[in-house]
Amino acid sequence: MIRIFFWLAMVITMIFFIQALIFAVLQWVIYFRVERTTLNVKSERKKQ
Amino acid sequence: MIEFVMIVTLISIWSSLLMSSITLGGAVHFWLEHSRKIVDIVPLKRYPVIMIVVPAHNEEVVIAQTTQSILKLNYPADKVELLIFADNCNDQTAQRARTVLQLPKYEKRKAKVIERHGSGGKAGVLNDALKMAHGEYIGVYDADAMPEKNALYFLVRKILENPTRYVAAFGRNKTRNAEQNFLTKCINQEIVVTQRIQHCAIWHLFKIGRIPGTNFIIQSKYVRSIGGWANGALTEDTDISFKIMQSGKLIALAYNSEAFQQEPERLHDYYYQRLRWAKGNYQVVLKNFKYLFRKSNWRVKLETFYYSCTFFWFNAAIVLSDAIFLANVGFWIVHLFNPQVMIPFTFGESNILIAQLLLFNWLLMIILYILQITIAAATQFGQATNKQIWLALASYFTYSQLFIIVSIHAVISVALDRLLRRDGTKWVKTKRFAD
Repeated sequence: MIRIFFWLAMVITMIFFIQALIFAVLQWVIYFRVERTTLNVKSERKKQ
Repeated sequence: MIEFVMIVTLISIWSSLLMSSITLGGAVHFWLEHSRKIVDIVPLKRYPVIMIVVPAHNEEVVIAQTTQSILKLNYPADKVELLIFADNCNDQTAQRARTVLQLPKYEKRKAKVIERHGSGGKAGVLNDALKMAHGEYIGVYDADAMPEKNALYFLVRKILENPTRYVAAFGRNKTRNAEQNFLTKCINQEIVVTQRIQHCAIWHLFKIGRIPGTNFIIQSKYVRSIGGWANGALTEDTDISFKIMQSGKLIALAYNSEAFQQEPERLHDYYYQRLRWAKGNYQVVLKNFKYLFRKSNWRVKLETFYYSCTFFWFNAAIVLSDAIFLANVGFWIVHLFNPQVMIPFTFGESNILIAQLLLFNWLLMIILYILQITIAAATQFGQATNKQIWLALASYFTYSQLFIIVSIHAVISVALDRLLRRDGTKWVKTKRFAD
């Protein structure tokens, strides 16, 4: 039973680890989009 | 047997992580779509009449500011009626609200203060307001919740997208006193995650909304048809949210609608506020638990399942895993002085790899927790800072652990209320601060 659990734990851990990496990358994508959108809006308002 | 207990605990924690991952995935998808959107304030097709209700019990410190913020809302003045209920007050709440209403610039506004002496708490106030409501919608703002200028506009704009199906719309609430101390900073982070991650995710994935108690509007005719709010309910907002979903209607998220509210600055106030919320939510879950096994709306089943898992199953797993951790630490310390004493909860010396894998999982849990916070912060301009990450790490080991104590206390309290037929609806008022 412990051996089965070990392989299960290994697979689950890898899934969560890869998922964490994906979320970390997407977090940067969201961050850059929000910052760029907000800064564009602010500079357009200044020009007006 | 010990190995079995540990495996069950770990599977429970993985299940909890899976639910968090689904929520985080939904939120990320939502924000990838919305992070490029520029929201303009354009005239609405129509402006329904809104009756705004402010239930206030001994709120003299904050009521004047809230009243002014509501009267300054970017919404046609003739379409807003404001009712401030000074509910069983023994301070200057009514007088301070009247002082604002008597200012020359607000003379012609449809606004009044009602000094109420009745029962039922906030739900009682809302039911009294319902009897007087002739507007199409009732809006609710807590006495400490200052709405942003366009808060009501965004709520109405959202509801008008589908007024037949959307009987309510809710916005978000920001913390006014976030920088006051460590506790308020942690509360602010928690609220940002709840609103930018959880609320956005469950609306985006399942069209499920949760009325937050403040900064929301709801169709007056609909509330009358379901018999109003549950008098004396500790969390009347959760209770009515379930009723709305049960009837097949929706509570729409207006993510741009913002209000600023005060959070507890002292641990005592925080603890009893959260205890009330936990007790109220347990009561609603127990009331709706039967719908998991009967014919009912799938959203009610999903929410009941989610609340049941969070408040019962996952809490039990966290308590068990903390107990295992503390037991192992205790026995390890004893083992240093007496090598014959063995550490109880292990997989044996031949399974060092499993122990290392489990340690890595524990680190992954912390990483997922921090990711939720950093993603939530990234959705707001200027909020994604290194300070937020350090605060998240500190709060994981301190603030977050408080919930375990709160939920155990709440479970025991709800059980004792039922066994001893006590009135479990008494609540401790949260102290307000001048800011």
